[in-house]
Amino acid sequence: MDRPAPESRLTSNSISATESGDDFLLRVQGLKKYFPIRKGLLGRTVGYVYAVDGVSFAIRRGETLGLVGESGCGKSTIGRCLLRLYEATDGQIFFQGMDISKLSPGEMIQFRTRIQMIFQDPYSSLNPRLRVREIIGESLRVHNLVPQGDWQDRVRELLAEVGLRPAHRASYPHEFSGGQRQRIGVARSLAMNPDLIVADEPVSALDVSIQAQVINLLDSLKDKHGLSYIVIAHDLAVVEHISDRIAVMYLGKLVETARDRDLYLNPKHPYTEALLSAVPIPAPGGRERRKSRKLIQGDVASPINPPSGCRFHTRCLKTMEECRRIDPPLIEIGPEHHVACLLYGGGRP
Amino acid sequence: MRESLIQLKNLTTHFFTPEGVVKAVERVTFGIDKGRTLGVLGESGCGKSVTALTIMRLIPDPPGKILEGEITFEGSDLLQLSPGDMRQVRGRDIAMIFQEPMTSLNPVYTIGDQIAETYVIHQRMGKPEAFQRAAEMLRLVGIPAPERRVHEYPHQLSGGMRQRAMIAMAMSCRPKLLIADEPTTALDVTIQAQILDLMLGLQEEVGMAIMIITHDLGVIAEVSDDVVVMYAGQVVECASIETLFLQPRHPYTLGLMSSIPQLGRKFKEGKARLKEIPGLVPNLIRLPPGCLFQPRCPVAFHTCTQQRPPLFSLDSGHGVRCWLVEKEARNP
Repeated sequence: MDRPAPESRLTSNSISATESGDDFLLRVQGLKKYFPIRKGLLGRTVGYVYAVDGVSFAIRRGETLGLVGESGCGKSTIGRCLLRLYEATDGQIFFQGMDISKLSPGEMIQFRTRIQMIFQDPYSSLNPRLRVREIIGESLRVHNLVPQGDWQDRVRELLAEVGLRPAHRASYPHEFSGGQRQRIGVARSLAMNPDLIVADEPVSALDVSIQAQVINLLDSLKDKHGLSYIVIAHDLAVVEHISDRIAVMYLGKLVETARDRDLYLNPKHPYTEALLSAVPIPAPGGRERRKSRKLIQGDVASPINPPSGCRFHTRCLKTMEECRRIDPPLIEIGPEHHVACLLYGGGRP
Repeated sequence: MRESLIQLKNLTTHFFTPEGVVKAVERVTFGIDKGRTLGVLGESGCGKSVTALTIMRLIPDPPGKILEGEITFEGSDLLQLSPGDMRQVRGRDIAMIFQEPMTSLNPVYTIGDQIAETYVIHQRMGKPEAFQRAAEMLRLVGIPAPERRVHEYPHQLSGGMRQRAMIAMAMSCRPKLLIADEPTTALDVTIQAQILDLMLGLQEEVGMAIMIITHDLGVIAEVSDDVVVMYAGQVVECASIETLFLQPRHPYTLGLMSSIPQLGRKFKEGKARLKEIPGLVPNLIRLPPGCLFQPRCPVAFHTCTQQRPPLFSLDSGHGVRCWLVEKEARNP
């Protein structure tokens, strides 16, 4: 559908992709986010949580990038850094070729409409004291994207797009089920006609029979509006279903990025293999599958005091002597297939 | 040879709230054989956890009430036991582990205290000996340095370790039945795999039966011998794991199976939209007329909106609560 895009005004005066010779919508370079740990009366910094520690990736227009990893690996922190909800400790975030990581809040405003977010918990991410029309319409008014009298029409249109009724405009969030609330969250993120939506665990708080409704909604909106998504999730099956490319994270670093098919059929990093084999498959023969899989032991190490060398070496089934010393960089091993593991030659002195 | 351990018959538990009567569990009937694993599958609000709490007789009363039914466990009806006798059954014969180990462990007692308590109560052991046994249990569930860990508090353990400690506590008296309510839902997949392996490993060693409650069809596939599918407080389908996956019959079961994304499916069959189950789980206070799934069912017909279907039994213990199978049913 070709809606007159209100922010086309914005596009014309911001830097377009071609100008900088960059065909990526978003490119992240060496992103780091350390959270200080403060102690005592004076709040002295006694250490850092190395939540994201040097992550680089890029996403094309119309592409869906899945970001998977276990809890505490830093995947949500990346999402929040992209929207500048957290200030990155280091690194650059190029949006259509322009580094937005150092922009002032005022300069950032025009980019706020271009990158939107969908949150995990549809209960805490909607203000309980606002009506649906205010939740969805607030940003339209703040950014002056539609003429004064028209924003209600736009809200109606957005509700229809996410499968809710116009009559829902006057309701409060508590009147909706979890799935419907997530639809409201999706409508809110669409209101700005964004280029990129960061969806942080968009379905994990929903019931199984409702998850499919929201996944399908995200899929069809993407096709309709040419959106790009970054889908952050721990559920590998959901990520694989929805993504064109997948990045696997472990303890603040990317360990493998590949096209969806390559990651599933030809995983290279031992952690990716372990993750894939740990996912229970809803099909007969599960007991036999369970007995034959390669299971990694132990817990994820602490991001406060990450292991030396390769951060996965403490749990890796293929660990070698040099893994303790050398932190492998992400190297290309095939078309769009990158892996950070010494087994594939990266980082040997 | 299969021998019945526990048999639930027409179990009904309602909650009497100011808004109305919540029919959480409605005439639920199923059994578990000795040494077998039963998976109970369902979404939130389907009554799977209330069923487990009813077996343990841990329903808060008021507002909850077990209205009718029998729970035959090794020959006696648990619902007829005195509170004192039931306390003996809990922990010793039937033990339970919960979804969120942080909220089910007591934060002000050490792990050792909490495990040793079961030995002191059920086996009248002295404290030092009970502590030693607690450490042995922690070793059994794969917690490193158990002598040190028994003196630690729940917050000092990771999520996976806490769930192991819960399992150690539940296993301490070698129960005949372990009820696990979403034991791995709060955990990461690699840790989930470890915990499931641990539970089934202990099962082989001790020979206990397991009732595992989950919304995850994948977990069900990996651990269960038999499956009960629940919807809105009722059992809608029960079958062996093979039958459930190869010949599912209830439209809800079929809907669930095709609505979840499955790893690798899109490369085998091409990317397709997930099949949705339209609508919402019904409000347990105002249930729809006729079949409870009928408002969301793609194949519902006239009878479905008029009459609630019974659980029809097909061959080899396959039960289906759907009018579509009426003609094949052996008995109504």
